[in-house]
Amino acid sequence: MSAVDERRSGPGALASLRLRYSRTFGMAALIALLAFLSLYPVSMLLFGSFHTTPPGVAGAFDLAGYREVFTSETGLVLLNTVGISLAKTIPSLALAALLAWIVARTDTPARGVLEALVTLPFFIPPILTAMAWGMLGNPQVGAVNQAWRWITGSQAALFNVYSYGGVVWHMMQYSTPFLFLFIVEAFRAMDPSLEEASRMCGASQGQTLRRITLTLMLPALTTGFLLSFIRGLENFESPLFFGTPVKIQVVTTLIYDSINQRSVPEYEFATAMSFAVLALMCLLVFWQWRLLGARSFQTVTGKAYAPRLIKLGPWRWATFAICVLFFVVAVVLPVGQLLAGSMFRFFGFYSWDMLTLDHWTEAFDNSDIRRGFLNTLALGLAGATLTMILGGIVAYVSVRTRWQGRRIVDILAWLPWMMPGMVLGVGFLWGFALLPGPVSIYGTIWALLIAYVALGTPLSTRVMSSSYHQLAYDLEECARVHGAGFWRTLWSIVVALSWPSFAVGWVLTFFGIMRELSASILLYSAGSEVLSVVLLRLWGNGQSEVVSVVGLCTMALVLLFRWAQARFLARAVATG
Amino acid sequence: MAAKIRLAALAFAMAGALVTAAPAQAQVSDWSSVVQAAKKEGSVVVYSMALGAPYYNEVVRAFERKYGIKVESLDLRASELVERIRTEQAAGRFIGDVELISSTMIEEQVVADKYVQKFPAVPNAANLRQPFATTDFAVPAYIQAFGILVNTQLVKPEEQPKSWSDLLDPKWKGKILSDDMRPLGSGSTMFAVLHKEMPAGFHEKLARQQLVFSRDMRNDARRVARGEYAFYIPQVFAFASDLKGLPVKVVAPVEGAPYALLEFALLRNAPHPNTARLLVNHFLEAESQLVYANAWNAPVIGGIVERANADARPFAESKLMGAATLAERPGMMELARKIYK
Amino acid sequence: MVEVVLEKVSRKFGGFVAVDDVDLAVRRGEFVTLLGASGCGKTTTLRMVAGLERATSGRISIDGEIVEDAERNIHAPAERRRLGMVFQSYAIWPHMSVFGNVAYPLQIRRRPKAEIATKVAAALRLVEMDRFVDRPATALSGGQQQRVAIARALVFEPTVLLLDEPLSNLDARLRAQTGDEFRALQKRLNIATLYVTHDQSEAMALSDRVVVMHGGRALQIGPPEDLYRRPASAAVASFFGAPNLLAARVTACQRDGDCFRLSLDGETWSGGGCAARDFAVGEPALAIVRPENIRWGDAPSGAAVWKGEVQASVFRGATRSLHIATASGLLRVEAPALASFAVGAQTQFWTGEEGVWVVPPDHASGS
Repeated sequence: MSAVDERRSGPGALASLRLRYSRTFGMAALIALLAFLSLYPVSMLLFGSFHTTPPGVAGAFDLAGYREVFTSETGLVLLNTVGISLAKTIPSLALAALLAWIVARTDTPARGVLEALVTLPFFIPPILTAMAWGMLGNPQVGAVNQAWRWITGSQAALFNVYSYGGVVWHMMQYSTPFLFLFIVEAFRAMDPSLEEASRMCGASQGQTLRRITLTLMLPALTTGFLLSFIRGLENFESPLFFGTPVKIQVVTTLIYDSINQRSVPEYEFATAMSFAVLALMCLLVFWQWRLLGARSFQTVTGKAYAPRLIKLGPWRWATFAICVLFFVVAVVLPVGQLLAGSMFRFFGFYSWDMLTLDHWTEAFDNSDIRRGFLNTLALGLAGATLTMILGGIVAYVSVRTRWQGRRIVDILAWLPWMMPGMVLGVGFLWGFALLPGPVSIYGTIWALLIAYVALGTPLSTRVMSSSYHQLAYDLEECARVHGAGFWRTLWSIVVALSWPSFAVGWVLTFFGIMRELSASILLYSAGSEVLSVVLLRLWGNGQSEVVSVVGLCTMALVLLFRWAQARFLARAVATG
Repeated sequence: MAAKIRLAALAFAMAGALVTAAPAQAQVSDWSSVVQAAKKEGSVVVYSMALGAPYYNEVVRAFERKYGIKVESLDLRASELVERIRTEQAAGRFIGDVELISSTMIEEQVVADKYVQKFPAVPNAANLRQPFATTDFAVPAYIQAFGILVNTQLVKPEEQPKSWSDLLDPKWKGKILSDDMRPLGSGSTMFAVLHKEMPAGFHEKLARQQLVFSRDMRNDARRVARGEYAFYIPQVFAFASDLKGLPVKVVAPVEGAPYALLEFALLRNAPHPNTARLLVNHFLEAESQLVYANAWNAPVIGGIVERANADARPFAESKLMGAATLAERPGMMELARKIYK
Repeated sequence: MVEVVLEKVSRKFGGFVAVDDVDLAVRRGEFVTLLGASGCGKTTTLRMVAGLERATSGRISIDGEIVEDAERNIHAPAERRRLGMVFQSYAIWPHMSVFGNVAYPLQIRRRPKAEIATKVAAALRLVEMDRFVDRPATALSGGQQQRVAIARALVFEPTVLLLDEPLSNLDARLRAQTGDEFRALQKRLNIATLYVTHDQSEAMALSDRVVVMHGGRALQIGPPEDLYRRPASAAVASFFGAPNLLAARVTACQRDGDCFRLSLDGETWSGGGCAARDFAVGEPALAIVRPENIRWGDAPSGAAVWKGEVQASVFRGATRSLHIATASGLLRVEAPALASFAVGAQTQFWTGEEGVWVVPPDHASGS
């Protein structure tokens, strides 16, 4: 943007004028880009919410969609959704904070391994864990309940996954590792002397944790809470699988019904409903801004910390046990179920004569899977990198500068997060298809790439800004004083100090792209099938065993990435 | 009442068949030029809700081998397929040639008078069996019929239902898993057909059995196989063909099977209209229909059932009860919401 | 009254010995500095006293009470040791105001509100920060943060204060001023203080006694002047300034009160010197000659004399630093600023017996 000008500009009025213009121009370009990525598809949806028919079809403007939203019936569904999301976000956050603290700040044995393991559930396609938990936790023949009956001799089931509890539990399996990934770097990056100072003041470990550590983590924690809460409102698989059978209705299943299951797709209501939810979420975001607005916590200074860990003595085995327990319940049980299932001819039927490796060979021989995987890999690598770079820039502008328009940038980057995926997918479809001009995005692989970047930017921005929040200003002031331009400063901040967050965000985004279905299915074209579309096809043909194989391979890929990341980071620290 | 409607529907369908059959015969004369034009076009794009089912793929591959023409298939769920076509056409992007989707969806597009164009006749349409016939816009492709999936370990052979009304036995209360009958889908099709064809009050009684609704047909069938529930309705016959080896059995009730008719329609401004015709004609070849029949679907042309595999035959020739229609849909959906609260 | 006692304290990290057998006693009101280059074990020693790090062997007692005894597996946690501590980064909690930071130790001790208010005010007055009581911590400059950190460490009236390089993040001018102020405050409060720094001038200016650490060991403990003038080894000498180290051989040695008078034979020079220990005749020795103790011009008899060419002359304001190339190697000389030396000029330099301090040529005499 303004880098070239700034770097060359010497002192003088002309130079400062040029600098100001190039900055204005740069901000305008950034805002235009974000507007195209997020505002454009969302405004398509906004049009849809006021119009009797979707864009491109003759119709009239009216308020029928919104009128239907403001009924007591819809209100109850909304309340129910908020309740479920709160019920899963609060314990998830508490658990994630505990796990992050254990992994990042204590001398618990095998922390490095535990860190990789507790984050695994996030990377399994939810449809697979839903299937696994359906088998583990159903009241009639679920493995957990049968074990319970066998141990206690009782006739009652311990746990019915088809319930509010089941919905919440299934969501927690994703939100806990998500939140963990989101906040663990913040825990790690904190200056340990802030806690030591507290102990020197006479505070016990517990008091220190409560009054210093957690309070200092407040920006990361509230942001994480918000992201996760919003994701909870938009969660679809868990209520669909475990809620629908017991008549638990949430906003997403309502929207899904209104698009997919009505006699005529009610886009007007679906989009109006989405905007009602969006309004609700905006309130939350403003609340968070107000909460954090007055505080700018900088707890990371330029110097490297000797990793000072809290010595827990014998308690470290208790913390170890907590991590292992979470791993067992959230990974070993469902993944074991998937692994076992993939080895038999039918998922969940274990007899010797059904033991087979056919599903594995099929998964590896299937040319559709291979093509989908390669397409997804290419899109994932490019998409995650672009998304993180964009997120890094947006976060930098909104957190680290006082430039005009930075709030607009922040809001624009947030937008896609606040729309349920299936509605936003439609927004992209409308947006790309109706895009005027000679350059055709629709029907090409670029449409997918652009949609992925738009969908990923809110998260990448949050990850990077919570990391920037903790950097002291003098670091970059120092860089700028030493003559670095905007890009150089950004680069050195991103690379040198926020690198771990960048890497974590990259992995999150990459696997977010691997999993994305709502937009993919509406934007892919023949030849650019992505993995999630191929998996949907397999699922639709009853090949859940092959889907499990692919899911398990995805997890192996996650482990590989995490390993490489750890190796690479270790080397970066050693050489830097 | 129900019988009357059935009669009327039958009469309507037969009338349609008579009306459309005549011009079809007339236009097919220059078929070889269609084949020539198709080969010139070189490819065809199908929007399909079959989600790449093996039998679909098999027929497509055979077509590619036979004519050396590439078939590109875009697999989408029905509602997404419809929305994609709508948006593309609104934007003036005509990419797809032909769609394969349930008949009511096409009816809907016809009513909107935008998205599909008249389907020129194809020679093999002459072989369609009763009551199936081409309409101005649609050519039947195959039948997806539904029955009852029974867990053979939970249900003794002598207790296995033979009729839909056997499900009303109080001892099965709470043991029936069902596709949700309220939203659009197989469940609502079953609801509509059973409402029309079964004695009055059937659904009210069935509702008292405390059905458990779910929305994932493939996985739900397996839940029954694992013993979570004794029955699953509606079980698509073709989906049960790959459950061989599990303790389940599919029952085609004596009253007949509700079904969904899947049809082809030619999309407006299709870039490869001749290839589309050629492909549709290929789907109506005896060999293609046999592939479908062997996968436990019901064929739409005559003379196939007899050639089907032994285990597929009962389903290929199962008695068809009826299909849901577009006109009655809103009323049926409302009724389902009322009965199954 | 001895406040802090370290007996044979060691700390190993795996095979690496960070702190090796350190003995030290800090008396009430005494200001003791741990001085050394980074990685010498000084911070680890301080952190063991604080209770933030465990000793792998040895014993630490505070106020007569044993808080650390590796052999008996005693380890009082940091919060029970009642020590005030100032961290290098100041560790000011960014989410609290100045008041909140300083009041924290009292709140933890559940003191009544009124008492907290008066004590916090008093502590802030002590460091002249009472005007900033309501400031958010993030709105403080480095120097102000440091003052708040000191106020926080003092507010609960500990008997021992630990400071980990508290001045290293300040600029030079502020560093000297703050150091002096702090020393005055410490004397006024008469509080035992253990101070860590790598800056020798800071150590000399502030301390009653200095512990020179290297490789985990305490090389020498003593008042700054002792360490400067009578270092036990070349390594200690090298901590303070840049002394000339000249190899020599002892030709005579004779006791004189608490020290020994020697005659030395260098490579191209000979002269007298003083040492803290007895040397055998013919024993190799290292002569330490401070640059500021070297004179020029005619030498009195018995003085060590070097002739050489002025290679460099650097004007430093108060002094002028010279580099002299002599037959015995490079000689550093600190001359008054007004003295004029032309580069390239041949000049004679000398120093008397009192300017030469002799130590054994230990393996640590790196320079």
